[in-house]
Amino acid sequence: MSKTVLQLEGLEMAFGQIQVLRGVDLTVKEGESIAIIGPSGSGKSTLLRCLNRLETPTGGAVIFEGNRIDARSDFNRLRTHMGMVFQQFNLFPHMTALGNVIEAPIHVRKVSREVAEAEARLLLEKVGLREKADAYPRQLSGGQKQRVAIARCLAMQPRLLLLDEITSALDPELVGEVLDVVRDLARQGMTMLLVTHEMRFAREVADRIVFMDGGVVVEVGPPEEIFVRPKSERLRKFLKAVLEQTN
Amino acid sequence: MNDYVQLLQAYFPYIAKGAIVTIELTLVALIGSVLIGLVTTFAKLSSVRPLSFVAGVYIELIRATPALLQLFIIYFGLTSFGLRLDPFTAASITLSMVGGAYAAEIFRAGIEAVDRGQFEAARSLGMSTPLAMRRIILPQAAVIILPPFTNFVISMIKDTSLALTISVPEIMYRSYDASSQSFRSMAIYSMAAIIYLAVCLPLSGFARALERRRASR
Repeated sequence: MSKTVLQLEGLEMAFGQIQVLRGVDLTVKEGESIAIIGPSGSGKSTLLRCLNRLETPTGGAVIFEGNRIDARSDFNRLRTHMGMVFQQFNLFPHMTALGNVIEAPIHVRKVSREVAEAEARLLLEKVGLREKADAYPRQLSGGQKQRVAIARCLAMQPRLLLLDEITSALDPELVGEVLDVVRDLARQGMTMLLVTHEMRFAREVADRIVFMDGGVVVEVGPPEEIFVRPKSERLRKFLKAVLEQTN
Repeated sequence: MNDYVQLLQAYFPYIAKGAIVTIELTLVALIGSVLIGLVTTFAKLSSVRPLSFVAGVYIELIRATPALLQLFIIYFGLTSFGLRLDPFTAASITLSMVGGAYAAEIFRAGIEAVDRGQFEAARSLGMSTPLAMRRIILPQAAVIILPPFTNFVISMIKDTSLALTISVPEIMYRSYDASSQSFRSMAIYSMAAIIYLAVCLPLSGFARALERRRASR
């Protein structure tokens, strides 16, 4: 059995009076890709943001590679191991694609510029953007931007990837190129947690699906169980609503 | 006409020399303002409550009192505590303090105008807050700040004229002096106006060009 990368125990998060996460339990094994689905406002994105401490959980435990993350943990180090890709790309607009990718390796991992650039070019090639190394973000399409963002994230050699609705801001015809990259990563055994609205994609790449609603995990299981034989009424309703929308 | 030429010959070099003092005072006050402004901005944005409180009080106190009053407090008022500053130093300190408060607000607005996602992306890559500021936020904020900051520089040039009141020999002081000697106020002050315009107009053209460039992006 492969080792546990991440373990959540009763994770809670509240913004003031509003309870967003009401006790989430989840275990992520090495090499596993897990898709988190659920209606908007169910706490999916907040869950990801609590993992790398962009938000501070108000209760419960996050255990990453055997270490419990608390207020005294070194968040900067934690974040180098847990890469995150955002819905809005958040590329650095004053740097080229290559500049975006080498920034953190040089200044955080402290590798030399030569090594960082060599690694970055390989990563850009991996996401199909070798020839765009010198382009600025404003010269790239949404899909290209998101692929640069993935390369930038991979440059820190993360052991867990958090993908937060990474295709939601893209024009429909650009979604495919980004999902291709994610599919490759999943095949190569990258451990991933992805929040997504692309049900077909979730079904194809995820080893397990987590269905969240109202700040709790309602159902967890392999894709065929979740999509073909949903147990809970809430999941059945959600799937019906989503499928009606796509058809 | 001949009369004007004579007046010009007699007083223009004298007043124009004041421009050197005006520019010196502006430069010293600008450096002071940027330093005080940066410290105040980071204090104001800090999550340490007392620090951001003190910065807020400083900005409000400065903005709610006339610069001339502050100049008099520094130059005349401090003598009660035995502190006698020479006029240029007193003017430099006052204008730095005033400029620092206004610059802080310009800097803060610039930093806050950078998309929050930029900071999150930097942090998610393991960058510390100071590193994220230096490499990601400030370079973007600088571009946003440049037009309002140029306007700030122009105001600073004009505000140095307050130093006339404590006899710093800048443009206004010398014009006032020349005008009381020659009794030709209109002609003399027109010369002063031309000197101010020659310094400030190119700068405001520069600010407009920057704003246009940003609008077209």
